[in-house]
Amino acid sequence: MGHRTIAGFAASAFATIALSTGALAQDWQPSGPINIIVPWGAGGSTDQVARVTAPLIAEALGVNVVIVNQPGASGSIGTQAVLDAPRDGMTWTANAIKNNATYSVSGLIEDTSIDDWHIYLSVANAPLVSVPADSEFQDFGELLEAFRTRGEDITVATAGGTSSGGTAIASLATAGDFDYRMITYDGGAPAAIATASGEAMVTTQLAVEQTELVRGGRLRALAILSDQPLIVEGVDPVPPITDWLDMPIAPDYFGIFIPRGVPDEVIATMDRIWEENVANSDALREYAETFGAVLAPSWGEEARARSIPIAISDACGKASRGEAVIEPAELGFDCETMSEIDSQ
Amino acid sequence: MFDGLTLLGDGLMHFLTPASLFNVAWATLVGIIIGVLPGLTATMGVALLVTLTYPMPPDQAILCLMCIYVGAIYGGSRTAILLAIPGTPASAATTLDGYPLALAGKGGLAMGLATTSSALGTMVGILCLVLLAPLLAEAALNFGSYEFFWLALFGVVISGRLTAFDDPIKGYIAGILGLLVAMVGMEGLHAYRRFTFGVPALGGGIDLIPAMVGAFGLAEILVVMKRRVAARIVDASDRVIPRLAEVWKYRRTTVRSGVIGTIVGIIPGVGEDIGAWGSYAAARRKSAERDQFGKGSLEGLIAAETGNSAAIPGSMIPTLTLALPGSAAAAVLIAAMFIHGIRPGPMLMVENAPFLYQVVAMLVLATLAITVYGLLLTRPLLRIMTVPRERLMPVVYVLCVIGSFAITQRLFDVYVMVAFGVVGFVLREMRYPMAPLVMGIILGTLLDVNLRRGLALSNGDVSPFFTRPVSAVICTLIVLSIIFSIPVVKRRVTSLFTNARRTTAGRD
Amino acid sequence: MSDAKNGQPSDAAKSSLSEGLSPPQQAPGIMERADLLTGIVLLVLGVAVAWMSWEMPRLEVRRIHPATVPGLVPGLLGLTLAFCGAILALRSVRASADAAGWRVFGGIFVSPEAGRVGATLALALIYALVLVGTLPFWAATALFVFAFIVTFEYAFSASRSPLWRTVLTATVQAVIVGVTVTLVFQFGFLVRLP
Repeated sequence: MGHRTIAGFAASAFATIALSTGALAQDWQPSGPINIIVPWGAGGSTDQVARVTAPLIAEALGVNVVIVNQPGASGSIGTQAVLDAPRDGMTWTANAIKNNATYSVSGLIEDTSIDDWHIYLSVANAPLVSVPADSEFQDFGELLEAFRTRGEDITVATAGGTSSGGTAIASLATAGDFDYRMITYDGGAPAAIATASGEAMVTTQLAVEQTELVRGGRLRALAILSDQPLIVEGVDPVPPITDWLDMPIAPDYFGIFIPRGVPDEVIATMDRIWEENVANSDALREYAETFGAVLAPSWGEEARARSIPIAISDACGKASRGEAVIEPAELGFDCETMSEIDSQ
Repeated sequence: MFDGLTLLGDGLMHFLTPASLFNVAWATLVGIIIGVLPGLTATMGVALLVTLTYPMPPDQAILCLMCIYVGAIYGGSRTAILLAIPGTPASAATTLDGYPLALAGKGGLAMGLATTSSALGTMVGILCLVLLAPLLAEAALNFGSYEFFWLALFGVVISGRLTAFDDPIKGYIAGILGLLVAMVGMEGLHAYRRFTFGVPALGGGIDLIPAMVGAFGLAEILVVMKRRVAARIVDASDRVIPRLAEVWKYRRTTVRSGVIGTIVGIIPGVGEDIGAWGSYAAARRKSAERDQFGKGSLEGLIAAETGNSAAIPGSMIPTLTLALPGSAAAAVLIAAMFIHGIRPGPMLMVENAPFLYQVVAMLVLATLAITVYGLLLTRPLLRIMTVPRERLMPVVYVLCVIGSFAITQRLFDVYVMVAFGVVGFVLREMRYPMAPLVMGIILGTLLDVNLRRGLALSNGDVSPFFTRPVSAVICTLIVLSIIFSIPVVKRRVTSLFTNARRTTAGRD
Repeated sequence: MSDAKNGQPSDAAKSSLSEGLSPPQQAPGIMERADLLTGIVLLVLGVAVAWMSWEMPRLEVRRIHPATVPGLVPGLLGLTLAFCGAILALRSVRASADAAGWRVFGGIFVSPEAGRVGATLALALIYALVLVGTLPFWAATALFVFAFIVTFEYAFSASRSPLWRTVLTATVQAVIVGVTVTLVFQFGFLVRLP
């Protein structure tokens, strides 16, 4: 009967192939489905952008692009898996670029830097400070006061120390000179949901992860970590953090990254796809407008240049809080001038 | 409620496409074959097929896995009736009356009634799933870290308690071992690598699928190959399709067994086999023809087959709403859902409400398919049963090896499969149940992260774990079930499920 | 349910026993001895896990909440395992006193069943750990299937068919399985086989 079962399996395999889209001519033709490992939970900011971008790439390459969520340990488990995978161009990751640039600073992944990746940026996201709808805090001023007086009694839900929310609360604490108690969840969406349910008192995850809950009246948005107010349909404009605190703001870029060492034609093909199929896609624009992200497509050297400020501010922030296991200078980041050392 | 009906309609329409129906057709057939073959269980079938459905779109992949699950639980009844060997553990209770019926020349009738009972049982379970799951999901939206810690612990404890063969402590030990397996690798709060002993591959932890393929595949192969003699098939040439009157006569038994099966299914980590034993025991207690049980009672056969099938939709209730697996196979389904980006749990109804109703539609389609196959494909299924194990098992093992390799394409996962196969076989021989081990592996992270997160939230204070109402209830349940498993206490308390087991063991 | 306790053993019951659903019909004391040994192993394992958890870093430099140290849950689990192992061992100590019982216990490792298990295990391990990765996948698979069938149809079978027939049919099945599985997975499921 073994053969009979195998016949069944084979039939299913061919059905699957028939379902995948037809291929377009490209210089690089992947031999199978491409895996994008999202090292965060499904529904989070990284996952959302990856899922908007994946079909665009799938259509252009003519193969399936599969999103694999591999959350855990501030995204380092999934990222490590991509670094460990064969460099055949079939395994990519999606993340916020500052994470990939600073995993070695926090010690989560040893010996890695921004130059381990070919960078394809799609959007920039800003963290949003929110509290449950029934919270005692009506605006950010009240919350800031509470942080300064009650410190570690205020619980802040994030997706972990190196997540966008974790970095945001850390830099807020530095700028506002206060203490807090961070509670780690498996991703940005779970952190936002836990805050909406009242388990945590504040969340500083990204706006895109919270807009649905804010729109549904379950979270109250207090301030956006940007120098511009956040304006999204169905939500009152959210004031910028600069109304209360004087702090550096670096745009937090998200995108898809391919590990260095893959064949050149992979990168040539992806450069063209990003320019022709992703940068000006309606799907990505619509996503950004609905969820409060900023459309910011770039690739190659430009993408790297754009990523450096947030990477430096994140790495130096970790170092100043004593969370770094290696000096940012080892990555070529100068924390005095907040710029890159040229020898890099 | 009206929303629910609309979504249910949408769910059914969603799968009324040629591609979906084709998947239902082959997947259910593969499921039945897996069920018919002794040594291939539903859990292993689902685990192996996760690999094969990996490239499919999420809805089709889960559809196939669900059909395999339903098909395998049903298929086991064939072997139970004609061979007196349960094709899967779920049909153990079916052998008691099915085989005597076959010996008495009523094999066809037994197969027919097993088919209709399985179908009706699944339907009763589906009804409960549609009614209860949205309510439970709504309630679970208020669950926080404290509650999820207790739910995870409850899942492991209750599964250890109820699936242990004769010794609850072995169930608990299996559960703790599973939890410890889940501790290996990088933990979720601070990214510390625990128990990796310098092996980089262990940093990502031990995947459930290769572990399951080992514990249910290789271990089962060893069990099958250990037996010295193979069993003989009873001839069954009488009418297969039952009369309506025969089905109608036992309507009470059918409904009661369906409800019991569903409830057992809902209990985390306690699945179809206990569902069958539970409804079998209840049917005998209520029956007018009690002395016929075990000698070829139609009622007993109906009770067992209804009970095990109803446990499938039942097990989906906690699986979908709490991410707490209702059975061992459901644990594998959760792993499969995560692989496909579907996140079961309280948020499912908020984020992806249609999915719940798609699962309902999958179950309905699978039920229709087993009815059609069951009543029409008698001869070909008979032939499958006669495949000698010496010829079948090497092929199964090849599929185990490649199945554990294929998802991550690491040889490391093959070694995991082999290790779990050997350990699983040894534990099985010493009468440790496998279900709590599975529950431990899948619930370990939930338990660990939520305990420590809860402690962080309360600033190190343990009292919220005991004072919040839902936490207090679950905690009490856990304490009670552990206390009742202490022999002195147990002797005084008659529990339905353990009694069913003890008496069937006694009567044999 | 006491009415059921005096039934006759039936064929159905026996086979359900062999499926491991009810207590195995073995010489008394065997399970107790197995329990005593596993109890001790589990006790040692539990203590080792608890000790390793205690030794785990507390990550003070990262300023984590002291109640969330990585070793907390594994430590608790280790202690519980050690406790359960101790109960298991203590319960079985009295039943395992006589030396004759240990000889019976040792006997199960040289029984024909143990031989069958040993052969299956040896074949399975050689295939998964040695052949796969050394030989091309189809060849490794074919070799394993062939060896398995011949071992059990010839060496371990009471009613053996002629050797040439077993070898012939086994070869045919081995080649078909090896080639089909390889083709299906390599080209159907796009798995890069070892």
